[in-house]
Amino acid sequence: MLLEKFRSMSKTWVAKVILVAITVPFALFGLEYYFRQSGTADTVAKVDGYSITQAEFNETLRSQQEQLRANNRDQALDPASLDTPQLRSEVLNALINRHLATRYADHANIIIPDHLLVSEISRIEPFQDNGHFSQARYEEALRARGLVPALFESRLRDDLKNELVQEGLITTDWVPQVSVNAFLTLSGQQRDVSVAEITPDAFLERVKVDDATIQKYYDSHLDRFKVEERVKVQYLVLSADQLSQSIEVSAADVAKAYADPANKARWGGQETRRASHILILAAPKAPNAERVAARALAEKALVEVNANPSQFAAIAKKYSQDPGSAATGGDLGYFGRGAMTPAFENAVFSLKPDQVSGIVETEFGFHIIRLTDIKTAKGKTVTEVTPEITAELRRQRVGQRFSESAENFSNLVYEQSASLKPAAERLKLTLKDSGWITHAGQAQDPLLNNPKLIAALFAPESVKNGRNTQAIEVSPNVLVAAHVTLYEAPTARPLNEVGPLIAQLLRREEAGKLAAQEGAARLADLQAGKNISLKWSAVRRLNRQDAVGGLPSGLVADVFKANANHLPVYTGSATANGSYVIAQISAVVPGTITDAARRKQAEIGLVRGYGDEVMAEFLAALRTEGSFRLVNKAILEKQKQN
Amino acid sequence: MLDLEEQEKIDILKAWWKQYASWVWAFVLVLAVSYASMQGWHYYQRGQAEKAGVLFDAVRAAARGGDAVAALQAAKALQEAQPASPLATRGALIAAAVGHVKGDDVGARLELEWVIAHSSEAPMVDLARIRVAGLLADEKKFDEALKLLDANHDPAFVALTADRRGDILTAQGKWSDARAAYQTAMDRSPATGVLKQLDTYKRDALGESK
Repeated sequence: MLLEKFRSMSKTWVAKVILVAITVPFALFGLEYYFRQSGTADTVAKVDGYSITQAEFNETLRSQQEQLRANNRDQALDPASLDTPQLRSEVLNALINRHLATRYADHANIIIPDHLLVSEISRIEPFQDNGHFSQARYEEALRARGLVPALFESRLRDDLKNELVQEGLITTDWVPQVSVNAFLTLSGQQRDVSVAEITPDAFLERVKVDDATIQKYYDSHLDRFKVEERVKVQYLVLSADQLSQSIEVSAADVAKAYADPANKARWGGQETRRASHILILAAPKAPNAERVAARALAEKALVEVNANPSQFAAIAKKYSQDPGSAATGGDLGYFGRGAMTPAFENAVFSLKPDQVSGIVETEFGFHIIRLTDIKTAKGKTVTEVTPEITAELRRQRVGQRFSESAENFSNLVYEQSASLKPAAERLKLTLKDSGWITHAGQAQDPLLNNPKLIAALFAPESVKNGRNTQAIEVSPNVLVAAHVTLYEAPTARPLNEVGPLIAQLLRREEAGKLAAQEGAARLADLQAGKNISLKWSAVRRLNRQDAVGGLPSGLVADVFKANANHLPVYTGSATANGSYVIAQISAVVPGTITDAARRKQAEIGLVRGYGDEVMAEFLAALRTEGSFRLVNKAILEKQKQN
Repeated sequence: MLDLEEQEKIDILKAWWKQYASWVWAFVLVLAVSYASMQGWHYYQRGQAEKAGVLFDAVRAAARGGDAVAALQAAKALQEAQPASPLATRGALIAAAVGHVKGDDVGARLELEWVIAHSSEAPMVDLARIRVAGLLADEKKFDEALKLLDANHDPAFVALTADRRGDILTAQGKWSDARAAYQTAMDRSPATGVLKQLDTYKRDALGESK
């Protein structure tokens, strides 16, 4: 019918239009267009029109986390520290910076020539087979990472663009001598200082603290005198280690495991053989003529070998096409069963020492094999390995036993929750008593310091209702259940006990204030040029970087900040222990610029420092308003694991 | 069998086509032409980039081998063949660096001056000026160096420019000018930069604080 004809025609029209709509942007904007479009729904941020997707963010975060884990392999890393809002925002910032640099490269019209991309890809090791680039390996490696070549190549192009940008900025830079000089003279400046300390001790006598003040301090700082609530408990421990002692392993079991062929290799005694060979290469699929020629060559070599067996090595050097062994006279070293291809192995293990095989055919080609040595290792006897086997069988059996007992244990402490005694009797476990335990843990038995267990101990169920806690797994394969026997509510130390302490504290505080006042007044006198007597220390020469023993760090900073145009100059500051320290600067010594070793060291540090600065300033300039936009701020929060 | 309504619809379509056919064709033609010229432009650019890339590789290879003479020559060839390529800018910077390391400051300066005169990337031009100023200052041509730095206007390297100015003024013994320059560097260095700290030290050491 016409209508149908019309429809089918329109269908093909529609199809064509769609086809055009798909291909035109592809041709105009390239492949990236599609990957970007498909991700618009979960865009995290937009950088100059480029969308950073959730997937890209996650991938970068994951590789950052792997990096952190690799860097901290020796210490257990809290998983929570691997997914903090701070780390997330660092990752996002790094991503934004990367794409800003790529956009810069695009605007500057930096195009990565194809030959550069090709040589870069062929250099990547996982894409190589025997040291050469392999297309199959390449595609396989990308598939494993969920990438298609086009996307990978487009990303690699971006990376190479960024490298070029960075090369222009950093790697081609150097530090001129004027900058090294300025750094050494100015940052390396030293100042001669002597100090006078005004201590609060001299003012202690003058300070009086009345009872009302002490009472007031006590009332407003009650939490400082708090005594925490604490408990004593009775507890039971069920552990796999404990159980394993009670598991019997009979001699028959051990003998059976020893005889198991699967274990044979472990007890040693496997024979190894050393052989040499001459290989004439011939692939099984090679044309017939080639294979015939190869076989003829092998036979020729065999004739020579049989005529002169002692010259095997020399003949191997002459004929063998095995690149690994030809040079060493065909020697393959010692190997056991399972190391070589079956036909080869059978031949080797049927030869007697110094005997030469006939022609042996494998998937590599034609071999002539000479057995050179046999080594028989003495295996371990069943008596020698009994402890090892016993321990292993125990380990295997305890897992099952533990899960049965654990279920039993959990049920018993829960069902008979008024006491642990029934559970102890039924499972033949020993009841133990703890010392005082607070929220902070500090129990003598480290098993009891598990946070989950402590929370259960102070729960109303345990403290008020006198019920057993649940069986809690405090470490892998260790269960603990506890029963509170004694509870002490939180309280505060009484005023008459802490009163003298408070008085002392307040007097020191007050005396410190007086010392600071006095110190500031003396400093003002000195700065006004008045002649006053203070007990000055010996003169010391300070470096800015020195952590000077005894001097407060704020004072060192002040010493170097002080205007030293007219000496002597004075500066001062209060310290954490209540003293006030006045410093007299008597000389300023410019840093030396002639020491070659120092110059070299400074230069190395400055190259890196200026490199960081160049990059930081460059990126800061690209991060102008509107250069990027956060679309999904929630990404910066820690995500729920699912 | 023909439905009148359908016949009517087809007539409308036919009429529409008669009236607008030339527009449709024109539109298709414009699309095709712009597509073709876009492809042509891409093709041309890729070709140029390939050519520049080969010359650039030569600069890099010479620099890696520490051969300053070859690097400078290769950079020159690249500049002559592809002056507009961003690779020419980078080739010049690489050649300048290896030239400087090998003691050829004259050659290094020529490369940097080529960047200043020819590169279309404003940040790279300013960076080249900072590097030339360092070379001039190390030859004690302080005033010439400072004058060169006056030309820096891109927002990218304000702090670095000020820092270099401070170092040159320090070498001249002009303490208060140096101090002001370091202050600018501190103020303009981004939070992630190192000059905030480094130039605090340099500024403080010059006295006259507060």
